[in-house]
Amino acid sequence: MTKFLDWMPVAASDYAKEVDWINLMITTAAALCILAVTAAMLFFAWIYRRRAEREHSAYITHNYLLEVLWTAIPTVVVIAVFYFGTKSYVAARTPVKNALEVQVTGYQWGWDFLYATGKQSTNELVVPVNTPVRLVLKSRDVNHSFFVPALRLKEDVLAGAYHYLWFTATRIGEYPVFCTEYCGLSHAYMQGKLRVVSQADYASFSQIEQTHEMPVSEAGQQLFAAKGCMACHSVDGTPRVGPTLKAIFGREEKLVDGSKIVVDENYLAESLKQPNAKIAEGFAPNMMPSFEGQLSEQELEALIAYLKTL
Amino acid sequence: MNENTANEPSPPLNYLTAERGIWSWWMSTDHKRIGLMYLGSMIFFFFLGGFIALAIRSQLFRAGSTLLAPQSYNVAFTIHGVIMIFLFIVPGVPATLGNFLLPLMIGAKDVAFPRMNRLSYWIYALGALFAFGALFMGVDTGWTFYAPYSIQNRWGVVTMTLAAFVLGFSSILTGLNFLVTIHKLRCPGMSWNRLPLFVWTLYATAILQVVATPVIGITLLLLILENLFGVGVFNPAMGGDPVLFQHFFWFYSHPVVYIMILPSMGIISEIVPVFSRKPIFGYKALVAASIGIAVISVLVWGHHMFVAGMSDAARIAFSLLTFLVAVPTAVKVFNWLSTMYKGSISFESPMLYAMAFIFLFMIAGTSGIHLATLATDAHYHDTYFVVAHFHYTIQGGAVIGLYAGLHFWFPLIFGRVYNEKLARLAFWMVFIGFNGTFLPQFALGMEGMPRRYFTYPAEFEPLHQVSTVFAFLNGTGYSLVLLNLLYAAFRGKRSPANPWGSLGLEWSTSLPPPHDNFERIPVVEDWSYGYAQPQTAVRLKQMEEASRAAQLHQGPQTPHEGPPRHMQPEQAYDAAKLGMWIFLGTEILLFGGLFCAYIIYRLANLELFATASRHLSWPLGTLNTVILLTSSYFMARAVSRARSGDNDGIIRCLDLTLLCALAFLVIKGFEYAAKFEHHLFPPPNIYFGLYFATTGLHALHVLCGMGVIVWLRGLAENERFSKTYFTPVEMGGLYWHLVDVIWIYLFPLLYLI
Repeated sequence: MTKFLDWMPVAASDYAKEVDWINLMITTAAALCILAVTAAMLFFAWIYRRRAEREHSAYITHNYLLEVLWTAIPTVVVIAVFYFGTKSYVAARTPVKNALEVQVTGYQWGWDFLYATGKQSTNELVVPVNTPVRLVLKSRDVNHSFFVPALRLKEDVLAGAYHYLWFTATRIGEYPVFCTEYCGLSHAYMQGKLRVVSQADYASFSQIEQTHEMPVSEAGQQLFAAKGCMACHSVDGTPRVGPTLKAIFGREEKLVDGSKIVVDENYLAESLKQPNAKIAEGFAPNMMPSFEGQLSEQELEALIAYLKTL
Repeated sequence: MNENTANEPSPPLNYLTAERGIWSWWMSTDHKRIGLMYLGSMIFFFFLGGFIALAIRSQLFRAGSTLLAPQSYNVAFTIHGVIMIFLFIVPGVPATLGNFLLPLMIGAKDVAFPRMNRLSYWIYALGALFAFGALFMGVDTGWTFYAPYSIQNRWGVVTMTLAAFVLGFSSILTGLNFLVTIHKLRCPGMSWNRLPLFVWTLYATAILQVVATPVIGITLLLLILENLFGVGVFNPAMGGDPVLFQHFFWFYSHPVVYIMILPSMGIISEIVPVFSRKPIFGYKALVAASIGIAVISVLVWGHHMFVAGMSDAARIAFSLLTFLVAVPTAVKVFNWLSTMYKGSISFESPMLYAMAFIFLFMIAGTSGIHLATLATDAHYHDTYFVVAHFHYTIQGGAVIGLYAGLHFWFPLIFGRVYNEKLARLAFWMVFIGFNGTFLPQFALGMEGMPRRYFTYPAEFEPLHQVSTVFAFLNGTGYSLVLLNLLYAAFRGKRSPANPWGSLGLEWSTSLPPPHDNFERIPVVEDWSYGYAQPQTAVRLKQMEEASRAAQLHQGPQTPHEGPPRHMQPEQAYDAAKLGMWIFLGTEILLFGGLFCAYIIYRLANLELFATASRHLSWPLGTLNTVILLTSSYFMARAVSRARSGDNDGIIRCLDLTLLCALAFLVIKGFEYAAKFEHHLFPPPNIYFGLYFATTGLHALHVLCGMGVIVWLRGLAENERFSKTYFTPVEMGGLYWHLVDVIWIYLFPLLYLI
């Protein structure tokens, strides 16, 4: 019976098991509803089948009590399902502090992964078991979607912005990764792998062999110095012409127009390209030059990676 | 015709035989003929789309199959989607059975605007032509045309989206026509609370057609402009947002699902009472549910974008709203079931389809819960689970409903009956084939199989094979239905009057109905669900007699041209006015989409917009504003001249209006020329993209308005207007004022701030 209703692939995280439970609950309830309605329909069809051309049928036009009941009950049921489904999902979307971060780039047709150590891999994402992981997704061309069935998670990777996924894998193994947003000719070949390994294996995997390749954030630090950012932005908390960048990432910033914003990759990238778009409170506009076209995508990423370490 | 040969009995004429020849069909304004032409074209596309579906299923029979090349597969699923959605199921039930039945069910001689109805079919044919052309241009974006993949400057996408745009026009005209018809053309006694439920669902559908279609119109137009000139609105490389395309797209394309399914629900509400010989249960609740579904349906588009980078708050809100749709749909199912309770039920093929609908729709609806739930949707999104859910809703719901209706009203449409045994056999093939095709796809979706894959990992193979085998059974079933009905349409036995014993008004005329539907406008004294009452038998008997009498009294009729004969003059005036206001509403929504894009991008790029708008010359803009306002004044004068019957006055005022319009366009031309000179076209940024899109579209409206004025002038010169008849002038005036009002909003947005 369960196999008949439940075709979910193996679950690689605790969250996936939670989703499976919600899914099974909905599927079972749905199956019961379908069975009940169908049984009632067939039962009526059988006992009220026409036996003679002239036979009595009842003149019933409505029944308010019944109608109120069968409006109210489905309402309560769906709101309950909504509650459970949303609760788990929101928990899974809430960022975990100090998560291991991996930069994911989707392109026609493959996935590139860049780890904090500077290690890179293509079409194979390697993460340590029992460790919170945060994926920062972006696309180099058209829309893609990063789908890991074993984690019951996907997120579209839409051109022009960063997107995020969080998860903690709890089961060592290899799991398929699919692109689930149609992206052209070889969309069907845009398949990858998620490899969940022990923490020790991850440590040796993420080590990079050559010493001349430096971690991304370090490259960012050099850029930070080379572009003269320190002239206006301190990294120790003292405000200068521009706001300090100490603990900038994840900070809630109040803007001149009174609104608030949580600093994330999108905000940092925007502030680098269009500094006047969102000015922090207490600072003047038109002070910072735009770096639009001055920084390559890699340099932009390196800078952001560095800013996160502050 | 020869009137003196009275002794020769003329054969009973009906709408099918009133005139002969293909040309008489093409030019016909008869809603019944138009419905049939729609039906013929749509069935053709249904089988074409179905054939492509079988090619898709054949490719998927084996993992790694090379039956279709990857590109051919991508083109195939795109074409399958475009044909089935835009050419088949969006016009769907309203354009076919709706067109045929609406006037018959409310006791009218035709729809409110018969010539507009014909125009909507012509536009449909034009759209079909474009779509057909695009079939050979290798469009591979999927029917959703997601940017930025769809903006890589390919003529295929332009042609295909142009087709969808044109088809949307046809859909708006049908919806507008139905709204006005239902409001203004109901026969005496046909009060709102006696309106047949099928008509109620057509009403709810028409509202959606009119409200949602303009938004897809502007979206597709922007996509076309993006491909041709690079407007930037959907292009991330120019600072545009591909997510905005998805918002616009689904704002239409979600309600469109209800445009497809609601009329089919209405058909089920008509069939179940007839075959159960019982009143429909909970009439008011069913009406409320139809309207409720229509209202909620425009608030839930975000669930197509749960994983598309929306904020978590938006995801939660859209999830909750989506759940609410489940309630009115559940209510409908319970009402149909209760209608069967204590009935006297027979199981001819329409009832079999209706019961199948209820079963299949339960599966469609409950699988929707999986997709409304955020936690499970993140897994199911864009997998075969969605494919299965969608096909249960649309094929299991909308299409099965259409076939139920076709079998039910077939004797009315053709005056003949089909082979019932064959119909039942075909039904079972369709039913089993359909479930066998799509049930396995739910399981595939659970396993994680993504959609739009021409090949897949081997573990998905067994379920794909089951699905493919049953797909062929499904297709064979539909072919059998078609053969059975086609044969019956030409060679079937003559149908007796009112074969199902329905109390519906449409059955009280002859089978098939005469060109003008009713000899005289009927008067309704009760709702059409009064079964199981002492007087039921008497009513049925009277209807049968009326139907036979209509058959005897039919004289030769030729479809007419010219001023409406099917309405009273004041009715015609009211109808024209209501129709015009609805049309203006769609225009406002069309521009509303553009304004919306303007506001979004302005807020995101304050500086860019402020600097770029300095390139526009505000004195020229002001001058143009003054000119347009003056033209509106002359237009108002023209209407007041018409009221007092001053024909020369009309012509004089229209000439002055025309002059103003011309001056406006000339100045606009100078402005454009300056922009070209400064290399601001093709647009270097979103501001100019939006500038050219909005002002260009507005200029196009000015041109259309000038066309209308020239036409009115011609009518005036032929002295067609009088103190009592000047409707066209008034309506043309309304349109012209709208064109001016839009400019009043454009001017400050683009030139001043």
